[in-house]
Amino acid sequence: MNTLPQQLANGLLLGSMYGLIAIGYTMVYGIVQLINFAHGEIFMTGAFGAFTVYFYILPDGVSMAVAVPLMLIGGGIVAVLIAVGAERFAYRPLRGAPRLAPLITAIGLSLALQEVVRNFYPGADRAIAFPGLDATHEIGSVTIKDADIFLIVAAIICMSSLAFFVRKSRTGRAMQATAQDPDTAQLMGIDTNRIIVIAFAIGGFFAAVAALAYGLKYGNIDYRMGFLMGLKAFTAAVLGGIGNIYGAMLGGLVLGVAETLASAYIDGIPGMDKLGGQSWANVWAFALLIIVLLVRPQGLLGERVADRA
Amino acid sequence: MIVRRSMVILTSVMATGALTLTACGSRDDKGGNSDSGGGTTLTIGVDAPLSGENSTTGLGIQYGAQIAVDDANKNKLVPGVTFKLKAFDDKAQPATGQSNATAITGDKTAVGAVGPLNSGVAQSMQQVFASANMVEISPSNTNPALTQGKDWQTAKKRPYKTYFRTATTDELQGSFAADYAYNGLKKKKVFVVDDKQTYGAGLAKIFNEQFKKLGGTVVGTDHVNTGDKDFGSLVTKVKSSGADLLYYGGQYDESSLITKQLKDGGVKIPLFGGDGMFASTYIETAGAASEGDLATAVGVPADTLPAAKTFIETYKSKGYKGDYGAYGAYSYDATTAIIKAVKAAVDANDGKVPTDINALRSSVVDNVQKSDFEGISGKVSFDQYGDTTNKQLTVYQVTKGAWKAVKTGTAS
Amino acid sequence: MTGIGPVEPVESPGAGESQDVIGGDGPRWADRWSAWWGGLPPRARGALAATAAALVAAGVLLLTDDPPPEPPATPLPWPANVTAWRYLGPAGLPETDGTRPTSGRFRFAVDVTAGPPVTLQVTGAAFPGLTAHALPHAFTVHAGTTRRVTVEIAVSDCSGLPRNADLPFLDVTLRNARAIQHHSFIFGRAYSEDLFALLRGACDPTSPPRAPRPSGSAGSQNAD
Repeated sequence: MNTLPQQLANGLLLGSMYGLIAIGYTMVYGIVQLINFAHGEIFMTGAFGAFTVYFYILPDGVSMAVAVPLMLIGGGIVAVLIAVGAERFAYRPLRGAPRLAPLITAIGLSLALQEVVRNFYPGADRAIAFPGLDATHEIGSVTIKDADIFLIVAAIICMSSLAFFVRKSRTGRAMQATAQDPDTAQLMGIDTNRIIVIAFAIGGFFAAVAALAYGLKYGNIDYRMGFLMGLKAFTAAVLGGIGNIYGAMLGGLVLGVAETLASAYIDGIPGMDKLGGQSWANVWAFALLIIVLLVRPQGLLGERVADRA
Repeated sequence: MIVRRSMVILTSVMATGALTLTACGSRDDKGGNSDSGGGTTLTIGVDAPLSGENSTTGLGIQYGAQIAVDDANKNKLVPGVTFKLKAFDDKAQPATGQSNATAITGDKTAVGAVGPLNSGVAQSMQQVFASANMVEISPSNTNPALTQGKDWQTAKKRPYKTYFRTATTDELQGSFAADYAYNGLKKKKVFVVDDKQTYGAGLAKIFNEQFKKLGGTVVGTDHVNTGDKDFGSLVTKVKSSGADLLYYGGQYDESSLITKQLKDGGVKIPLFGGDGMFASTYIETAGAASEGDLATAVGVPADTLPAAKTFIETYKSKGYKGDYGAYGAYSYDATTAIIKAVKAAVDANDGKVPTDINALRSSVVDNVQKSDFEGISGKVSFDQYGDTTNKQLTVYQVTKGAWKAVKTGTAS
Repeated sequence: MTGIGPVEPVESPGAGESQDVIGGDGPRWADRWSAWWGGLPPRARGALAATAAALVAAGVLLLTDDPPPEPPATPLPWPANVTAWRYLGPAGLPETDGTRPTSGRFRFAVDVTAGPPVTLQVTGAAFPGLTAHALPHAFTVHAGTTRRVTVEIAVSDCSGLPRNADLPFLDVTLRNARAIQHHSFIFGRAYSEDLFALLRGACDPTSPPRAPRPSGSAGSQNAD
């Protein structure tokens, strides 16, 4: 049985999720040069927001076709509010402060969000079962389920509309201008505060989309789910060239596919049987990051400064 | 530009390190509620994962010990002595377990400790308790090396005389599971996965060897990390291997995700694991995908133990969190063994609590070794390695959304 | 008359008139209650009466719902929890005499530690190609006693049998007044060696019986 198509599909799915989260890192970095380490936790709160809509607001036995859009709205509202709130109350007061200050604030915020969810969300001290979209489809030798289709479709829609928004809309062009030179942009009449808030909001919404896909795909969520996913997405953003939105998506896909193929096939290479398998996936992912940064320190697409937003 | 890039790299390295460190922070949940009724107050420490991974079974250990302490105080098991339980959360991390062990031994009222849950954590704690000559009884560690030394298969040698356990070992558990898989389920091709931890890897290795000895084929092996969420690549490998059973050595946190992704990926084979995944949370998390999955667990089903009935009622009526099913009764018995050893030490000292805590601790170790009483999980006594003489095992299967016992066994 | 004077009527001082009680001149509690009750509009009276009745009914139900605790009966133990087996050794393995034995006898000691007598029946010996029964087929052991039994194990089909396993066991049906259980008793290395000596003798005609052989030998099913 040829497993390559299935493994590629596994990798692309994982990579799409990384890419969606990576957008939040890369947009915020592109505009304010801040690495928002609380972004993984914004992803996590998005999942809890979606779960709250499903479990506490919608009636029992509601069809998933109705529930998923409402969960997306609920998760999106929570994640966007927290992302924008973090910007307004944690990062904006520190604008102009030494770069280490907002970074440490981000780490503190990340811990605070985890602990708030753990302590105050009912049952969040362990994994919570999330409704799944588990119906499976066979396409050739590839098996995918409904949650995977949701993830792929959502990722494509999100990415293409973001690209369109950044290139074509007034606000999008204002974002590019702010990314290139915030002071001049302000002099040209651009409300940079508004642009920064929009960048955080888009990042938060994309994280919520990824979080919903995560819940539907894996069937459970917990308060620490943002840690590793956030770290991987950040890796994807750096891999693709941080600050570049296409780089974030490409970095996510490359990372997901590399990780999956490494865990699937490296142990089949003679002499490498001890270095393969699922448990080495993270090692290969970070090894790839190091190699790319050695060869291209700016990341895969890092030089396209003009497209940065 | 170059400066900015290196800043990114530097901050990412720093932040990764910082975030990783936060996973090891320690939190001491003060779980004990003592009503001091005069006389001496002695402390018993309990260490288990009380939050995050493995906490369902960990909380079962904490509250099992709590009920034992409450019962002993209520029944004045040791006249003039009030026992206090102090709970420590090790988060299933060996380093945290070690610092908890140091905290317990540093407490001048502490006479013994119950725990931990994970064999890998136990490895880092044994030495601390041995240096303080304080007894440590685990209700759940099953790795054979903890009591019989790392060469347990060829030359058994007890490494620490202060370490005991009320659970039996994986030598038995792995063999029992392999036998049930081969002869009971008639499975011939198994894919073996473990989480690389002391417990999981040890159990998977024993299962692997025994399954092959019985005539079965191991069609593939893989390892996962604790905390992994995406097992798509593993599922595809299992699918293409043609296995008719997946054996997993590890905890329910990962195995519940694996079984779900396995069934969602169209691989309709049961997942079989050890006592680390015998928890209600496994079924709650995996949902319908867990139907038909199996787990071996130490001990016999609690509902066949009349003495455990009161214990279960107390546990439920107090509204304690966690799952007592896996180790609650063993934790109760481990705690009671320490309390009874304190009583023997006090009796041997003309009915007075020895004033020198070190003399008391040492006497408690000797008296735990001599334990011989009917606990709620059966007879409590220890052999020359510190292993329980009560070697019972049960195979459970998920049937209609609940663990149901399908086979029980006793070793002599 | 005894001349000691008339007997005074037994009467407390001031009998017949109410005593001076502080507050005693206020309206009686019942009067106030009925005045308040009479002052309520009829609908409120009805609602209050219904609520009171419901509360009383609920209280009665709650109280009667809690039966007095049953006297703690001494619980009967389940048979598997009080029964222990020990392996003693092979019993009279028939001499080969040119023909290879296909069955063997093994001696065990069975203890029952508590509870009512336990009746045991050996139903199998771990592997599908083996049959096992005790001599006699079913036997009873009383609490606090030990009984020695011999179990005969016969090889019926070599094809599915391993040549080596560390912890073979006996399947036993246990029955006492509490329950019937199907339980496995697992024995250590000595039993394993003796049992596999029999299996090798019966199924590997080329090898001398009781010769130790590594796992995965030719002709075995072991696919390492």
